[in-house]
Amino acid sequence: MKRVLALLLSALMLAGCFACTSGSNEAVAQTEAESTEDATVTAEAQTTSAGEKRIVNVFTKKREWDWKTIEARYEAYNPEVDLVVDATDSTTYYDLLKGYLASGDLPDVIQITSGSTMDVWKEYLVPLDGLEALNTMPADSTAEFMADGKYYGVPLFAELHGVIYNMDYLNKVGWTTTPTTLDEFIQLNEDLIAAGLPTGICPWSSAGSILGHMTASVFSSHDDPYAYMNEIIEGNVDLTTDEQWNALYDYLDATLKYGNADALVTDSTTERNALYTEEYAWYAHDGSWLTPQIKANNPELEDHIALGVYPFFNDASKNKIGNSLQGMSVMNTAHTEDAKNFVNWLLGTDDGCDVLANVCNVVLLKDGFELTVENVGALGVQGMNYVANGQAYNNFRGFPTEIQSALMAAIQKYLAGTSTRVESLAEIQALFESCK
Amino acid sequence: MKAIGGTLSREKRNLKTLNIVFLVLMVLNLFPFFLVLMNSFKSSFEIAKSILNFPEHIGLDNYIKAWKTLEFPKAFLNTLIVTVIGNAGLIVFGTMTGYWITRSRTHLFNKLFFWLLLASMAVPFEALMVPMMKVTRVAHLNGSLWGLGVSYWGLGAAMVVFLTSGAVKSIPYELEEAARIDGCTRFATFWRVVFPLLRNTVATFTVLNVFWLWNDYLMPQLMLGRTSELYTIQLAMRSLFLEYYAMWDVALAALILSLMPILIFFFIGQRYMVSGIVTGAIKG
Amino acid sequence: MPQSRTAQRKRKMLAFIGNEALFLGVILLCFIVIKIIPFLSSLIYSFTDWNGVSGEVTFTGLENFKSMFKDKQFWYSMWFTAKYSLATLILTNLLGFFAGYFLTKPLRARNLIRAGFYLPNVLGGLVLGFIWRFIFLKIIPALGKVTGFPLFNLVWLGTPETAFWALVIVHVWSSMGFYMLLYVAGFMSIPGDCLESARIDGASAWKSLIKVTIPLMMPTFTRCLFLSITTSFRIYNLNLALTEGGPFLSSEAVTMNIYRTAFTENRMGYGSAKSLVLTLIVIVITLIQVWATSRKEVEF
Repeated sequence: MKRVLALLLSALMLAGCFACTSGSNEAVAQTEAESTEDATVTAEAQTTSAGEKRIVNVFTKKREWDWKTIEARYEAYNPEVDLVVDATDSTTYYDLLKGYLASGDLPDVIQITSGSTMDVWKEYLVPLDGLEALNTMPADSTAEFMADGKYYGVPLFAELHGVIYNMDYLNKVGWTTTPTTLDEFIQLNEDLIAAGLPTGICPWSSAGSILGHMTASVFSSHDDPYAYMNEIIEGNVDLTTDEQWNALYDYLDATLKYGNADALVTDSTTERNALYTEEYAWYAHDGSWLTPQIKANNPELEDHIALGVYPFFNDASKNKIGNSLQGMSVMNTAHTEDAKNFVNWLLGTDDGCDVLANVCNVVLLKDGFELTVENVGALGVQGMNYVANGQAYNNFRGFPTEIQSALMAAIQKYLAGTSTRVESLAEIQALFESCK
Repeated sequence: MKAIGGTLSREKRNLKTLNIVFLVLMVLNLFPFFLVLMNSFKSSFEIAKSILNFPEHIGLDNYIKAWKTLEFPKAFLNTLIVTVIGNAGLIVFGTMTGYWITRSRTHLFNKLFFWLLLASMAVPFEALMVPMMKVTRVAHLNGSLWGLGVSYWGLGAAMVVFLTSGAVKSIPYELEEAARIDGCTRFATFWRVVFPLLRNTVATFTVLNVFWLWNDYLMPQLMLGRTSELYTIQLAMRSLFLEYYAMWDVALAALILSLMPILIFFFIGQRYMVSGIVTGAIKG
Repeated sequence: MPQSRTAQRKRKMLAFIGNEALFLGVILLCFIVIKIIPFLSSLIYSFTDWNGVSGEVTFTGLENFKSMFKDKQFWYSMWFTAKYSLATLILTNLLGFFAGYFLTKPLRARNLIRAGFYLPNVLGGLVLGFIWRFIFLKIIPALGKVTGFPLFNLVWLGTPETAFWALVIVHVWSSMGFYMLLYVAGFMSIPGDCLESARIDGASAWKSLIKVTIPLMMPTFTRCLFLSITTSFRIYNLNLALTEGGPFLSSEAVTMNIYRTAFTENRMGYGSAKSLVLTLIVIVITLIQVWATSRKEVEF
């Protein structure tokens, strides 16, 4: 017994020493880097002391990007900086960031969405006015990341979303373009049914995509989406008769009528698997983020996949796709200058943009940067064409965080049939009004 | 004579049927595992088509990919270190605490400590996550495997103390008295007399704790998230779950890889979990 | 000269404190650092409107608790969790108890079967959810078409009732093996002569089970029930992976509600207040349970 105990304790101590050294090495490296950084943070000095590299910590939720290549290319461009990338899960991204904030360990570069999220984190972000990259992008994209007259983020990429169509099926029933109105969408389904072909699949188990993405048209069709929301909060808008909300629900009705039977329990994974295996003609909600997986699973799909507008109205001019714009921000840490330089390189120079677009298949916003089917895929190219023709609404980012989950639940109750349209819209209205 | 023989063989038949019934139940019970194993050999496109089909060919591609992507040897070593440190501390210090608290329950401080420990089991981890990060930072526990292991001493103590306390209560005090009379210190008494009798309980909570520490994700993410050299298997595996897509083919293979070491540990350990308690000592 | 009484008492005190430090020191320190201080911190936050990020923290007194009173979803999730806890408590303990009972008999494949029943405990969170989602959404409907049982033809995970029972089923599947092992240990700790004397007195297997085994196993019951209640009240990962609280927040257990409040809704202060209330409620429940079962513990 004593022997076992002795063994245990010595294993403990051994492991402890092992771990301790690896842990303390990290701590030593970081403090050295920080003290070097403090000395050079104001001046744009190009030398380091004792050959130690300066560190820039990037915290990202884009695990799928080829960060090793990004690191290699940036460190070749700027050999004095060591890029350290922490790539994590997107659903808990901001929760983890809060944990890092508490432990005093903020990263230098983060991803940000405008609106409520940027509002919450603003106090820890560095204004990026004057950054070269901002000048290379369209004004309505950069304007999203403005707050209190300053830019707190740089547009990182656009994710275009709408209804996805497998044109092989559409061609079989004589459709060469995607439906642009609600009546056309219904007609397409009738044609598919008459021909004995499958219709579509709806990933409605996650109402988050409905709320976050599909309400783009509801809010962004107004000149000032935030003012519109405030009107709802003040009680000046009756959602049950509102044209935009009802059009959204009309589309939801159509998807339930013609789509797969268990839409409420269909999650995105199932829907995407069905896409790669080409099981359905339309996919009620998805976007250009699929490109890497399409290229990996079923590259031929690129030839006959199409992004269509959300057919909410019967007036084609009111139906557009959605644009989920996301940004990159710099946090107020000891490495702000180096961090800003990195962001500028990534988004403002051809070198950085080349890695993002050609290696990571990202839909960039840099003016004049060529986006092709090879780099951003068919969905990306089609999406950007819609944007160029003014046929995309930006996602609305202003939902008060306290009611988001309840809003999603209200929509899901409608989809499940446990509340009528009027009840559902009234519930949504009441939720907004509770934020007064 | 005949009657006795008759009952005996009927009992044997009952046992045999029970044996078979339970074996069947067990196999049914393990169906989900079978699914995991079967799918770990399929390509991601095959999995997308259907989870129920047999793999088109049984190859080790996924496992090799998993090994490389996870940097398995490094991740395995990190996880092993954390698990060993965490468990060693809980076994050594946790049982001591459980023992002492049970034997000197009359002192107010100990009573309070015991009830606080139990009460702490009511609080979910997520509720304390954020303030905990501040404290662990101050205590220099962040960013090292050692720190993570020690944090688990704090997190896992309650259950260990609770189970140990229950086991110690059923150990007759006379055994310890005998040792004390012979001149042993309480410390020596604990290790010489009591601990061997706790083997069963120790095995029980150790198996549980090993699985917990091995599979835990949130705590390592918060404490080790910035230093990729120290990633545990769970952290390394998260790189397979992307924002819009999960690499299920590699992920399932990675899961099997990650479970193998502790499954082996479990098969060895579960014998001790239920091996005979020293009823002899109690009777004698 | 023999030492004076006070000196002796002092020595005893010192020895006692020395032992206290030795035996409790490490765990006490860890416990205070990892649990007590964060809990106190969380306690303080529950009287503020902190959003979890801002450097500014404003005291709002009892505002959070007043809001909690009116928070229907919170109390719904509390009730949901209580129902869930009761259902899993009964099922896991019943199944664990009987499995344990049969698996202490001299069966040939006993060790293998025990290991096989414990194995599900190994899977956690994400994969558990993925596998069982697949089972509920694809396999069960397929079985339903083949056999026609109405049970299989329900819309699993699509209605509040099925979501609830799905969670219970997966939890029971996952943890029954652990309780089975605890009960096996309990069974084996029953002194053989008690059962012997019962058999000699002519008691049937069932009678001796009720009158002798169960009363002697009360400590095991106390332990198992306590663990069952505390672990089921804290359910989060499975909840997230299997149902995500859906459909429409109908299967949201209380930890998920607290997490959502504290993190997703950026209301750390309010979330801390909820957490405090949850803790108090669970403490009361387990106190009652431990008191009730401890009273029934017997010794022979």
